[in-house]
Amino acid sequence: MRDPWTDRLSDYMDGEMPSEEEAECRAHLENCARCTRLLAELEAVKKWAASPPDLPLPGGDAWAEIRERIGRLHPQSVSTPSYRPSARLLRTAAILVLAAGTLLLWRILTPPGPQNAVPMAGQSSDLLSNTADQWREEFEARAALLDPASRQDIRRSLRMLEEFEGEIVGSLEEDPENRLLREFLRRNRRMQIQVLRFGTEQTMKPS
Amino acid sequence: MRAAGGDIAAFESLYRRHVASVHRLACWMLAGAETEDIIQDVFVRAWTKLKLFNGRAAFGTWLHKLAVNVILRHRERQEAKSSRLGVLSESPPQGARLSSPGLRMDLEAAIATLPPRARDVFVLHDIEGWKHVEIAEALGISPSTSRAQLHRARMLLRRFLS
Amino acid sequence: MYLSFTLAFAFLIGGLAPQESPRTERLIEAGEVQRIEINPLNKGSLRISGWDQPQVQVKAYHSPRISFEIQANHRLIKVEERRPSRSALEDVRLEIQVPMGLRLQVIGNMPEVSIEGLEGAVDVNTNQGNIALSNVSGSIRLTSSGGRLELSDVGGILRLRTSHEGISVKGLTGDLEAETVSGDILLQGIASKRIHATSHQGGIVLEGALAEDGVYDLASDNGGLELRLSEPLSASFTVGTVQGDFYCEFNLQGVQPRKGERFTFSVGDGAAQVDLLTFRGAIRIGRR
Repeated sequence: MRDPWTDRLSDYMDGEMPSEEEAECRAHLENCARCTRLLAELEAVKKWAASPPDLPLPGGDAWAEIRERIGRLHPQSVSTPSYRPSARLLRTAAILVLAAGTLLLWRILTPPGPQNAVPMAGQSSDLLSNTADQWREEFEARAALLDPASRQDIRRSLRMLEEFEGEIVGSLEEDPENRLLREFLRRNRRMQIQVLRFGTEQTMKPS
Repeated sequence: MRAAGGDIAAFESLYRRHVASVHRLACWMLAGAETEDIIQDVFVRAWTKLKLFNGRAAFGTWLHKLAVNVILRHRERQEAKSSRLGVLSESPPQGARLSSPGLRMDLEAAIATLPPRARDVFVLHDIEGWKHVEIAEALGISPSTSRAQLHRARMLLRRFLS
Repeated sequence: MYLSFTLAFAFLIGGLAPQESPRTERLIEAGEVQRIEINPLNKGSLRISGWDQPQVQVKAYHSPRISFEIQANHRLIKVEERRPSRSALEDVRLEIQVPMGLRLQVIGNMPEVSIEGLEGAVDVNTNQGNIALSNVSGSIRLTSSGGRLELSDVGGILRLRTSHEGISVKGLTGDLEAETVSGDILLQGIASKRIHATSHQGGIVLEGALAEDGVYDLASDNGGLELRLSEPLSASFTVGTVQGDFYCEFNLQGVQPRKGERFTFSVGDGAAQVDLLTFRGAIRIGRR
């Protein structure tokens, strides 16, 4: 026969039971190993749910589309001449950043070694270069929203990285097959993307 | 609130602050199905309803209640479409949904397999922290049904923790 | 659902005089709270420490122009700084004690942040200001554009990123991903299985024991790389320098170091995998 308390254990656990019934349930639990075990399992589920793992955010930024839709509903609301990244740009950036992220993940998760430490035929460097350009456009459009010290830090970082990129590109013109130089170029562009992305994200924080 | 006065920049700031939590809510309630359009719908709806926000509750609370409505309406439309195609609404999600990027592994995937009503109550009560009376009002059920569905969900999920 | 407390209100007059007692003070029963969010904290200092009490204690020292709002529901506490719009940033001193298992998220502009004695995950994002952590065993993500990151006795998975300052980690058992543009990266007392550290301008020092199934990837453009490793050592090294010199205290077994291309060699059974890459800096591998 089914134990009548089984279906009440969640109420007991959540404090949703009238006090006299709660006392009865507590007394039952002292003598029923099955219900005690079940209660522990339910508590484990509840505890897990109270602190579930973070879910990854969607890759793109929906704000541009939302703004466009609001604009269609209330055109006067969005007519202020503030910066508005195009949906296309955001979509492209999201795709490219996803690609860059995948490359980064691949680089982190794949054991280093001569066979996989070198980018493939320079294609990834070009892809990263395009991604960096997209992020540069995003960052510059929003940079005024950043505090001056951080803006200066980020621009100084970018200048250093760009100067070094120029140096590697120059060396590659003399030695286009040099795998080590290509590796530095790929790492350099990836770091530029990280800095630009970080700078752009900082402009979106509340203050 | 400046956003309620039609300040789009202030509303963008609200969007930035709350988009992650709305995304999480949609992900759990829709079992990892595509949430991008839902998020858009939630914030567009929020914009049109902002004047009704009286400030008695926190904005996040108000927004989540609105989001639950949008999500439920979306799912009703999906279920109506599925039933026209002969798919049972209480059937577990397809493999493609289980492997959606929003949800991962064991218990997270198990939540996606819960019957929709039990999943709604579990997500709103145990993950989002709503009370049964609030859930009952949002889902159009009684508080006792909400409690029963919560217990059903936990009983189904406990097997995935052991 | 949220129980909302407004803890202090902005007054019309007043400045930030040195304060003996906090202007905002609150003790909140943590109950089933799992997470605390501080967002935003603009300027000043934030000190968070874990304690073995079931409450969250918030003390804030600030001018009357600033207020703090705290929202609590059954699993989340939010602390928000409120200031008049377009007003200049003012110093705030925020001291918070939390149950050790709480997860923590801080989003700030330019506060100095120190955190100690937590077991939950920690996520801090600031523009300026240094961040210091000690005795934190959960996963950690620290991001800053102009702040120095200093960590000691940390155990979880670490993701650290700063643009213009250094990164220092002492006593690490978890995985680490660290990146800085112009700072040094100093890793001491390391017992991690996976380290990925990159600097453009700075040097990188790793001192500790390599795990047999560990993977270590250190790269700098203009800085040197220095490894001080515990023995017995079992590792396969892949090394690349363009202009820098290479020094190694271990037997290279006949391998000739070459500039401008990668070369490999093993020590012991070659169990751990180590990838070292620098453009201008020297690479030194020595005993601890």
